[in-house]
This record gives sequence, structure tokens and C-alpha cells, in this order.
Amino acid sequence: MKRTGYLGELEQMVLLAVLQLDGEAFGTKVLEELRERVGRTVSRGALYVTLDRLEEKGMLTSRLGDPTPRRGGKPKRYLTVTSTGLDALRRSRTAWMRLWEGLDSVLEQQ
Amino acid sequence: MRSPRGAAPPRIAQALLAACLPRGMVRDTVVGDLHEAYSSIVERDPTSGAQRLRAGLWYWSQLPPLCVRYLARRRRPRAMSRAGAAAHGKPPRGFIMKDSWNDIRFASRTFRSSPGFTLASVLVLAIGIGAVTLMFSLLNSVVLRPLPFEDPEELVWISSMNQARGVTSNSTSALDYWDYREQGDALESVAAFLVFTPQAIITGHDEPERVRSTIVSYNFFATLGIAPQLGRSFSLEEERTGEQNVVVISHGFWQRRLGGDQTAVGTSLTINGEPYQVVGVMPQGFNFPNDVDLWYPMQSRVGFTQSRGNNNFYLIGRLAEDVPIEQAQGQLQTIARRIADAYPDTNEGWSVRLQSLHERFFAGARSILLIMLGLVSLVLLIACANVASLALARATTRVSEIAVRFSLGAARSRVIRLLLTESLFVALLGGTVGLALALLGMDALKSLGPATLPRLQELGLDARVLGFAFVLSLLTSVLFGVVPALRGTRLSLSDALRVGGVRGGSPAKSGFRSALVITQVALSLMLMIASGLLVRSYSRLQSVDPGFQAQRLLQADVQLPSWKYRSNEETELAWSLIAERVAAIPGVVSVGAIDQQPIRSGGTWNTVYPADRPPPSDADRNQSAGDRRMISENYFATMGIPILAGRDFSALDGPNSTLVMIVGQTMANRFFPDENPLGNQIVLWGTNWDVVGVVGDVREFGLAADIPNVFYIPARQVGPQRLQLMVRTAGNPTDMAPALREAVWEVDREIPISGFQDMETRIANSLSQPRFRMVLVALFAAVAVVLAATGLYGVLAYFVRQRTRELGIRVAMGAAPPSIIGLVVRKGMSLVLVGIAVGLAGGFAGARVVSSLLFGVSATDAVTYAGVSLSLVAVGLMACVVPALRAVKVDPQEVLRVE
Repeated sequence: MKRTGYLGELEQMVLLAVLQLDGEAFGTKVLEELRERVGRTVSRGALYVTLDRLEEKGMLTSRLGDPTPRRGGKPKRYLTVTSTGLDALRRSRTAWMRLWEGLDSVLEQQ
Repeated sequence: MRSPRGAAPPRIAQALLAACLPRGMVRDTVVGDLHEAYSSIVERDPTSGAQRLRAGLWYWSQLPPLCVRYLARRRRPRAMSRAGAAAHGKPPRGFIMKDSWNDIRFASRTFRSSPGFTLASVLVLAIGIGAVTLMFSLLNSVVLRPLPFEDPEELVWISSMNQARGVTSNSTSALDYWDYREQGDALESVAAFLVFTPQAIITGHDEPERVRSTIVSYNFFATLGIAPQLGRSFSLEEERTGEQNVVVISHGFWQRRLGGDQTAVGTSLTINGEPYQVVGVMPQGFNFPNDVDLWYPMQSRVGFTQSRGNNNFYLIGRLAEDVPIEQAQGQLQTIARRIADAYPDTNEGWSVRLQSLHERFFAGARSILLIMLGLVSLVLLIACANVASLALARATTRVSEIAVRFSLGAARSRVIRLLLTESLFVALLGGTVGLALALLGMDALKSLGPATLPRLQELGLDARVLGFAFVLSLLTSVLFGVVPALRGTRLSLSDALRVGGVRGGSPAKSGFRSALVITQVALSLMLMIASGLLVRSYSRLQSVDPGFQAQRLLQADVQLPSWKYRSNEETELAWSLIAERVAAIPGVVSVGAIDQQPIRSGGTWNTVYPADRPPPSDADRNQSAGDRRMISENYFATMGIPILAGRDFSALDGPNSTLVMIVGQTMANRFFPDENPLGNQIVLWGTNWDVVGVVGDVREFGLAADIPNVFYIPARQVGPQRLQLMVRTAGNPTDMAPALREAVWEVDREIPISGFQDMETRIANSLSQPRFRMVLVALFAAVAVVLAATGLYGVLAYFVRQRTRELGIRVAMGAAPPSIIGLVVRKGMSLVLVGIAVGLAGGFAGARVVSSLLFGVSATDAVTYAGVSLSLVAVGLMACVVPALRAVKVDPQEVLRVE
């Protein structure tokens, strides 16, 4: 995946899930969101690495929540999509929509 | 392993995870997410151990994908800088690592493409590694873990010994103890505690409660390095004068009885009817020795501290800094000699011996567990042979691939490395699955294992077990991987690149596989021999007659409060009343009482000798020891112990009548070999006792132990405050417990009664260790045989495939099916028979190792050896059947058409 190119599928899904969760997004929540909305099971390893990559690219920022005993005294990493992230999503969506244009009828016939 | 915090993920997994993740926010939050997810799994059923196990396994399962991703990510920046480094003419850094990484990725892909092979190898290895890891973790928690004291390696056990009398480990008298403590400096401190743990009865506040107590030297806690959690321990002054009644209580007692009150120190407790002041509370988990709840200071005025002949104390010392144990022993022996010179009457010939505390507590369990570990290692060896055989078979199917690698210029070492990486991969997968199996096994062991095995409940995974499993996996990968890798890469290009590759392997290759099968058969035969011997030994044990009728016999522990029942008359009356009330319960057939019930691990004994002979000299005193039992009348009838001569005790044998004694048959034969024991007198405690009866022998110390000299005296003549009621019932004995309790309480509500147990259970419990060993080894043997049989099957199937053409031609030439079957079976059985021969030799050689675990069976028992050999032949034949039938079904037309 080139830096100037479009978002990968998982990246896109993760960013959208974070947006859907509206400020309440963190690792486990994102996993659940993906499973519930699109039935996609992602391994934690893949998810966390994707989150890190998106943050490195400046598409996500995170803030730390309060540590709780249930988490063994470790904080939560709440995620927010940045304007760069939103731009990337928009760009991807535009690209997809252009490619989809006029194809609905073809697919319906199948 | 379970953390006291409740729902915390496995600590080791957590540490591994943290090690894989980059430091900082990512690590904290990811670890936190997993912790939370773990908690929510546990919370679905917080009280269930199974749920916890499930959550733990889930946590472990999360590790591989996370760790692989993050470790791979960590490597990437370095890989990117490689091009730059190469441009400067330097050898690329991380090149080898990069190749290894490729090897690993290639290996994982290869295995995904042949899941059957991978699954079989991983499973077989997992069974082997799991079994060995399980045994190791047992050894680890029972024996290897340090004792829960401060710097436990400095602690030594000090026992009195007397070579002339053959006494190697005895307790010590308080007076000797004080001499050791005051005269030596090789030990930083020496502590003493009472050999038995008297019951103490607590009254006041709540209902009466009975707890164990012990008497200790003032420095007992300090020597062990455990300080009270509240208050203080004893002062030297309290030990010396014993004027104040002071007591230190356990954490459990404090919580239970005093509600964990922070101001408990200084309050008063009524113990055995007397007021005691609580001066300290020990921290949680400290109940040494023997789960006591109360500790009192030694007091020089109390009876059992008074004479040097009263060996009532065990001693534990802490070595002074840099003093080796031998030096400390030498110094104490000098002191012992001084004491012996000063007090020859009591101390003549007595010396002292030191051993590490750890050895004293665990040496017995260690040797047994080491034997078991040795046996289970055979299973792992078989598993390795099995997987090596699989890997060899697979290597032949990969000949073309390897040849292509060679022709493209790969060095042999490079290809070997690739193959070894694959082995490592399989071994680590097998190790991981094996670890999970071991975890499951641990839970099973905790519920099934014998309660007499020390520290069994602490069984768990720790860094040592984890490291062991890891090293074991590496080792197995070498064991099963090296030969196939070397052999698989020894081929010429022209051979290998022939169209279709090589059908079958070279004769040498199948020779090696045969050797592997022979090894497997031999090793599993050795395990079967061990298992067969243990089974026979156990059945011998079970058929031993305990000397009494154990069916429908209930035992209950009854103690008269000492402050209410002091004189002989008072106790005699109480016991008579109790016997009367209990006998009147409907469903009670008969009732008797004894101070120490049979099937036990120790007891009181005295020096006794016939009155018409001189007292035994020191050297003979040991043979002259008799185990003393106090009984009520009707005890023998209740137990079903036959009276062989003379009479039973009666209510007339009271405190004021002639002293009488009944002896066991073994003692009668030893003391009076040529005369009738009846009418003779025996000296006990310096007084003559008339022998009035001889009774049948009883297995006092368990079914496997020798029968000691036992003599019985009437409880009425001694006045004990504590007896074990033995009740013969018409129905299920344990159902009678409530009625029994009521009957005793009708006599006096302050008499505690507890320890209900039916004697059949008691005997079964005494066999729990041998049973446990038998079941474990039988399990190992079963796994071994299945593995060996699959190994044999694999080789034969391969043999048939390899010779398909030859078999086809034979059939075409008119060979009858029996002769074809004979060909395959002969091939298979020749391997089995050679394996059996090797295994028998190995079994004979290793027999000594298990002989210490056997009872009534010789370690070279011919019946066992023949029996297991025959059953292995039968298993071997079964493994031959399928390949043989396949050989018969070879269609000659088809075979020849292919050619």
C-alpha cells in the first residue's frame, strides 16, 4: 500500500467503525463493532497493528482513559478519526463510487 | 499460579505479551484490553474453575497472532535499511534473521498445504510433551519450589540419632534442645516445636470449637523468618518461667473466631477452660506445623519438658552465615557427646544429625516423582520416533521440491536449515498444544491426586514449567528433525529429477524407519512392564487382610474436655456412659473404643519385656519396643479381631484391679516363642502387667507395612481423655454420624466429636498413592502402545505402497492371498519381535528403578513380562491387518499398466 494511494479494506473498515462508535471507540469495541455490523472477525493482532499504522499516518489520534481494576490497572486507548483520516475516507469513497457508477443493473441480473 | 486478586489473566502469558509489544501506550492499552476481555469471560461464571481455565486458554490463544504481528513489525525498519548497507559493501545486517524469517513463513505455508501431516505430528508431540510437562510441573510444585519460609535454604532439620540402636531420626528432649541452643554458634538460631499437635478446646463467645495447637520455643517464628502480622511473638522470659498464659493465634483463627478484630491482641481466650492472653496474630497461610491454629511458648515447668528421656520436640535450625551444614553438624555432635558424658543414663550413645529442611520434607516424594518423570519420558521418546518416522515418509514425497532447490543453487546446509526450521515449527506448535494439555491434566490431578502428596494443590504453571516445556520442544525438534533433514537432503540430482520423482525410498531409508519402529515397540514394552508390575502390586495390596472387618465400621474422634474430666473415675464413667448411649442407637450393632485406630502412620510405643527376664540392654531395646494401644472392652468384638487365646477385657478390669494386657500374635510369638504367653507378666512403665489374652494381628501401619509388636491395655486402667469410637453398624456407616453425635452430647454437650470416617474409606485412602501411580503409569503405557502401533502401521503401509509393483507381479504370477498377507505380517511381526526382545532386556535392566514402588511382586516377575509381551504381539498383529489386506487388494492389471 503506497502512502499516496487509497485506504486498504481493513483500514477503511476500522476508520468507519471508529466513526460509528462516536468517541467511545477502543480496541475491543472496534472488534465488536466489526463483528456485529459486517460479521467480520478480525484478529486482535491485525487490528492493533492497523490502529498503529493509521495513527502513524495521522489518520487516527488517541487519548488515554482512566485505568480500572478490571483492566489490571491499565488505561484505555480511545480513538478519534482526524481530518486526515476523514479526507482519506472521502477520497476512497469517491473512488469506489466512481467505479461503481452504472454497475448496479449488471449486478442485479446475476 | 492463581493470583489472589481474583480474575487476573495468567501471569506468564501477560509477561510474554508485554515482551512482544512496543513499550509505552500501545503496550499498556493492548494489555489492558486483553485484561478486560479476560475479566468479562471470567465474569460469565465467576465461581467456576472451568470458566477460569477457559478464559486462561482464550488469553493464551490471543498471544500468537499478536506477538507474530508485532515482532514482524519491529523487524521491518531494519530490513528496509539493508539495501543501504549492502551498497556500502558491508555484509547486510540481519541477513540470517531475514532468511530465518522466510524459512518460518515458508514452513507455515508448507504446513498449511499438508494439514494431515502437521496435525498428526503436532498431536503426537503434544501428547508426549504434555505428559512430560505435567509430570515435571508435579515435581516442580511438590518438590522443587522453595518452602514458604524466609531463606529456606538456610534451614536445617536436627534429629537425634543412635547408631547402636539403629535409630537414624528421632525427636529430641527439651533439655537437650536448650543445651544445643545455648552452647553452639554454628547455627544462628535453633527452634523447637512439639512432635504432636494437641487438641485445644475453645469455649466462651460462640459454640465450643476444637483446634490444633502446638508448643514452641520463644524463637520459633524468628528462626523460620515469619513475623507476626499483629502483636509480637514470645519472649525468652515467657519460655523460661511460663507464668503467664500467653498464646499466638493463626490468621484463620483470628478471622473465624475474633472476626479479624484489629484490637485482638491483648484480649483473652478461654482455652481448655483457662484464660489465655493473645499476644500475636500470624500472617495468612502460616499454620506450621500440621495446620495448627494456636502456638504456646515452651515452659520448663510442664511435664514433657522435664526429663532428657522425653524426646518430645522437633528441632529446626538456621545456619549462621557461611557455615556449611557439615560444620554445624560437627559442632552439635560435640555438644551431644558432652551431654552423653554428663547424663549417661538417658543419653548414652545418642548423637545428632542435620539435613536440609527441604530434604527432610520432600526426599520421599522426590524419588517417586523422579521415577515417574523417567517413565513418562519414554512416552516422549516414542512420540519423537513416531514423528521422525512421519517426517521421513514425508521427505520422500518432497524429493522433487528439494531437488529443484539444489538445481537452483541452494547449498545443502541452507536446505537442511529449512527442514530444521520446519521441525522446530512443528515442535513449538506441539509444545504449545502440549502445554494446554498439561494445564488440563493439572486440574485433573488436583482433584484425583492423593491428598497425602504434599503441596499438590499448589500445582500450576510457572516460569520454570514454561521454560521446561520450551526447552523440551526445542530438544524434541532436534531428536526427530535432524536425521530426516540429513537424509532428506542426501540425494543426487539425476535421481531426483526423474519424472515423477522416486517411488518409495532407498533401502537404507526404510531400514532407519524400521529401527524407529523397533525403538517404539521396545520403549512401550518397558512402560507396559512398569504398568503391569504396578497393577499386580496394587491388586496384591488390595487383597491384604487388614486383620479386622472394615465393612460397615464407623470411626469418630471423641475428646473429653480435660478441665472437666480429670480423675480416672471421671473419665471411666464418661466413657461407660458414652458406650451405653451409642450402643442404644437403633442400627448400631456394637461399639468399642481405642486411642489409636489401625491403618495409621505412626503411634506411641514403649519399651516392654517379660517380667521373668532382665531388662533389655540398649542394643536390644529396639526389638523390645511394643506399640501401645488403650482400648475399651468389646473393642475386639466390634472390630472383628479374633481372640486366639485367653479372654477379652471386661468392665471388671478397672483402675483398682490387677493390671492386665492383651498382646498381638506377632508379639506373642516374639516374646514367648516356646511358652504359653497367658499367665506371664510383661513390664511396662516399670510395673508388671498380666498377659490375659492373645489376639489376631492387625495391619497397624497400612496394608504394605510389616506387622509390629502390639499390645493392648484397658482404657479403664489408664483413664485417657481422648478415644476413637469404633461403631459397627447395620446399614451405611456414615449415615449414623448425626445419631452418634447426639448420643455423645446426651452425656455432655461440651464433649467435641468429629473425624467421622468409615474404615473402608480409610483403607482406600491409605492406598491412594499406589493407586495414583498405577493409574498414571497405565495411562502412559496406553498412550505409548497406541503411538507404537500407529508407528508400525505407518511403516507397513509405506512398505506396501513401496512394493505395490512387486506385489502386483506376485499376484499376477498366481500368488495366493495368504502368501501375500504372510509377506506383510512377517515384515511387521519381525519388527515387533525384535522390539519386544530389546524391550524385555531394557525392562530387566530398569527393573530396579521401579522395585521401590512394588509390594508383593518381584520387579522381574515372569508373569508380568510374559503377559505384556503377548498383549503387545496382539496389538502388533492388529496393526498389520489393514496394510496386509490392502496388499491383497493390489490389482495386477492396474499396476502393470502404469509401468
